[in-house]
Amino acid sequence: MKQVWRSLRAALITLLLLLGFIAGWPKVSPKLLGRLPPGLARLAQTLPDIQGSLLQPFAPLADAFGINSENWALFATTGGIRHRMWVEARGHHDHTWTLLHRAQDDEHAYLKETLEYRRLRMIWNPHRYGMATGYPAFTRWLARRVFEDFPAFDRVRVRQEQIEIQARGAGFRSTGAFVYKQEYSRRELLP
Amino acid sequence: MIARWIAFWDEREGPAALALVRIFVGLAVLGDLLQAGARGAVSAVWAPAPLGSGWGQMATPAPLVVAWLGASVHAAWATWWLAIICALMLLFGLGYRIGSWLLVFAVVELWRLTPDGGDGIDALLRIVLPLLALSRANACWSCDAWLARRFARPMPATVPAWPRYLLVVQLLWLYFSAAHHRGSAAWGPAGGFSAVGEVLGDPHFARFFPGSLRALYPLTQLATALTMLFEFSAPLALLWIWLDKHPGRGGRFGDAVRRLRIRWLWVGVGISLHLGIAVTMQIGVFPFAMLALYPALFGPEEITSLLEKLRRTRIASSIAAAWSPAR
Repeated sequence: MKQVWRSLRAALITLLLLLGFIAGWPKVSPKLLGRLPPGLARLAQTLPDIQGSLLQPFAPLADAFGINSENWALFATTGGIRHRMWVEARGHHDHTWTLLHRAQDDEHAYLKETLEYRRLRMIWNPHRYGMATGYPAFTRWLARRVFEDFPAFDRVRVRQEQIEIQARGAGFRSTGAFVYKQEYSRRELLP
Repeated sequence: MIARWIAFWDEREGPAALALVRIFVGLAVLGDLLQAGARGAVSAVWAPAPLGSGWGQMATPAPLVVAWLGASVHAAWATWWLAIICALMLLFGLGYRIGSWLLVFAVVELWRLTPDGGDGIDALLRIVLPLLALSRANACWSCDAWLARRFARPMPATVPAWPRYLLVVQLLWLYFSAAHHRGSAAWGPAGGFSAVGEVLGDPHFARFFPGSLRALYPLTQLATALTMLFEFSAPLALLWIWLDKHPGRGGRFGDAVRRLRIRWLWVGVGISLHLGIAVTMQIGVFPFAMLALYPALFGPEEITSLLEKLRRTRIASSIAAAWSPAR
């Protein structure tokens, strides 16, 4: 009986390693795909389908543990155009917006501790494929919180300033453009 | 060949390495969750919109905590509290089997409430925690081991080694995978090894104001090059571990690897890189949770010998005595 268990355990571990290996096949970005030799590019294009069908039977088990992938793209891209979050509000009769929070700005640091908690940052920091699904929910929560904390404000907007990372560690430069703007009125969130 | 493969996964060893991983992972998970509480971020991350950023409450099927408690702030707090209590049980090795599996449940549910409210380290922990739960990481330095001795039923002196082996494979694969996903030129000579310098210029991740560490730019280039060398060479760590474990094997190459302490050098570079990340970037628990897995890179006998050396130093003697594996 013990021998059967030892063999079964080794078989299960082998299966686990094999599935991990398949789940870890590298994802090739469209940019890199264009640079590959034609044969390799064709293979790279077919791999995700093969990977998907091989992993499909085990998907319910992986999902039960929240295991999505064995691809670990950590800081895969850096530099170029990045973002800096601005949180602004204004009263009913105001003509200008009041800056409440801006990343790396100690003079505008409303809710800094909360907003900079890593899990929230993952929601409001745009990543290379765009914005997190939870961004609208996050901005609604944030706007509601501003309305509760500042009764004088009537509108809140959250947006991302596009910045360009400078060469040789010189910091960043604003491009003057803003994206991912979400704007809310008090009436909308606190009826 | 098959018989040797089966025998390999049947190996047993002292529990010290797995116990240290259990303690460090417990500390990392607990620290991160407590930080969420201290920063007032529990509802903000996990409560359903508009009371928080959660959107997993609308998924089909709904997370179990939502099915049981409804899509509410209470469900978010209850799951967070469950995770805190279970992280404490993991840390102290108390009711280990139940506590560690409940922690697996809690971290998966937290992920389901806000699927994008986490990063690579959360994905890694969802793999590591079930492996730890299957191990006998509570066989020493734990309340369970202490209670077992009190009731004259001491824990076994050796435990299955396969969970540690799998943790090592997972850790090394993560590094190697991270390296081969870095398609950006900034990570290589073509981009002037500028990647780490660029991350430090990103206001969302830099700990110090971007540009304020400009004088240290050459150091960031060195860090970029070292990171790539370290991560690409991760699979070789299996060879370094094997050569260190079998002193007579590997011929002159093996002797050179052992004499130059290549494995220790590789581990030292990894520790330095993670500490560098912790000092210069705001990415939360990531560097600490990664380092929490490092004891798995050592055999239990190496850890006990290291503690023995610690015991001999006057300052650490009292700490090391309390940490004797016999306890």
